[in-house]
Amino acid sequence: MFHRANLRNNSKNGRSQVGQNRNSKKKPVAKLTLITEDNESFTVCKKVAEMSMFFKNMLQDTEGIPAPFIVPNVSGYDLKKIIEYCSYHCLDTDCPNDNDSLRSRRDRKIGHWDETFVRNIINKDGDPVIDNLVGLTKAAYFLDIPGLIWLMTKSIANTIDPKPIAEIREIFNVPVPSEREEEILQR
Amino acid sequence: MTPHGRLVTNEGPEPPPDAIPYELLAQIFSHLQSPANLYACAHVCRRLTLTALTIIYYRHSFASRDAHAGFETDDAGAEEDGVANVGNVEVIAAANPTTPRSTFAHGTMVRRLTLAAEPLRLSRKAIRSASPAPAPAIRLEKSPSPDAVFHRQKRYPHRNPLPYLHWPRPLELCDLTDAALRPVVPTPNAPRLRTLNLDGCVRVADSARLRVSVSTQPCAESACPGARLGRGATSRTSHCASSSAQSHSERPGPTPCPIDPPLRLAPPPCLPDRRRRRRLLTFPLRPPFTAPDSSLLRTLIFTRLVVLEDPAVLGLVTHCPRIRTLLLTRWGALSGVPTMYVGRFGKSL
Repeated sequence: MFHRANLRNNSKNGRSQVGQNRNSKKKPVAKLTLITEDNESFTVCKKVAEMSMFFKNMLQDTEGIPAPFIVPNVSGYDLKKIIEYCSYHCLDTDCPNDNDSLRSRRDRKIGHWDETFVRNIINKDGDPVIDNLVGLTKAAYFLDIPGLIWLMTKSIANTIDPKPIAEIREIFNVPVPSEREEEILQR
Repeated sequence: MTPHGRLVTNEGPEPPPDAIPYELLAQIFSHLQSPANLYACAHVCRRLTLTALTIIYYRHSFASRDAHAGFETDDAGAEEDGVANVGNVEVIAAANPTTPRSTFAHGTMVRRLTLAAEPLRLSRKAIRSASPAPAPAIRLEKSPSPDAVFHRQKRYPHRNPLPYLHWPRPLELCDLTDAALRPVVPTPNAPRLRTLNLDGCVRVADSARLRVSVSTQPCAESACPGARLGRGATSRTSHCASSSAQSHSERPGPTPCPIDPPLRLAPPPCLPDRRRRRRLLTFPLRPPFTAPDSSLLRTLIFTRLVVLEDPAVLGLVTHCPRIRTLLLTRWGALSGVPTMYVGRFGKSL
């Protein structure tokens, strides 16, 4: 493993050196600084950020890299996981990231990496699983990442699949309705 | 605007700030395959109801066998029986022998189930609650459409309950076994089975068909209103493309069984395909009526019956003296013997 890692590093360095020699005038990789609502800052490259339609449109509109951008409604943990997802899938052609292809491949299954990704969300510090899932879903929805939204919604659906009503209420954080409301629902 | 000046919008209730948006809810629910889960989500709150019901009604058919296999019941006991108890209503479902199916937890919302995956087998568990169900009327039928349809209807809530089974789909393989019909034995508190329409039943076990109204234990069982299904020696099967029976009977008192067990039945023909099965029709010695007392039987409808054997006619005349309506629209051959027997009905027929 050590040798392999060294080899990889060497090869990467070699490639990068060769690349630098060949394209010495190439622009540096554009990076974007994001600040979450709880004041955590993340630096991501443009390609990763462009997985999010929100950032993609913003970058197109501003025609350049804006100053550190404050991302409201997204916590540090959520943004970290989003960056993790986007960095893996930004080069993945098998994983569609637009709504049309997601609709056309409705019956697709969750990939191995995605499954591990979701499992890691679940295992985070023993926190309630579903809260993290829902929070990450909302963050993905805010940042408009179709692939991640699909993955999160699918995971939530799998979670609530065999659950009774009371547990679904807990998952969605819905208070227990009054008797009258329940009667209306039953109707 | 309403007369009170309020703005009327078609949108749902205002979501709380930390709630999941409607679009996300719709996406989550779109991943749920089982309608049972969708119904469960629809019962959580109004917001979820609005989203889930849209998807439920968008999926107009439950034709997928997998989707149907996901139906679950609330408690373990009901799960065993394949019956979901929701409030005072029991819902029955047609069950497939290979894939046990049961109704989903919120059976009160069921109006129509399409079970088009394959020919159905009416199982004992499925029919168990047909008669003792506290619901006023339960209808189990296979529709004339390609799909088999399961209807549950509530009718006449203030009148005398009239539960009935209806199976009018012709030439669709349905096994109605004796064991399946045996649970239709009513309890004293339950409404009795008045009508058993097996119009589309191709394959019916003899004992089930013949003993549908025969009370084998006259003393206690016949006092209980309703049909008593005995489980006698079940010869394998005989076939009828359609045999429907309707009985409109008055409430009888405790009478002994008027009919003896069947002596001999027509041998079951080997029928490789449906066409042949349709041609070679036999009819049992006695009609498959469901009245507790066959002498009270007034109406018999055999709309697709092709062959009615002489002993059957004799049995009909002997055991159903009050018959007023006998509908035999496809009866192919009429020999002298049945004509004579049927003629005994006289003007009243």
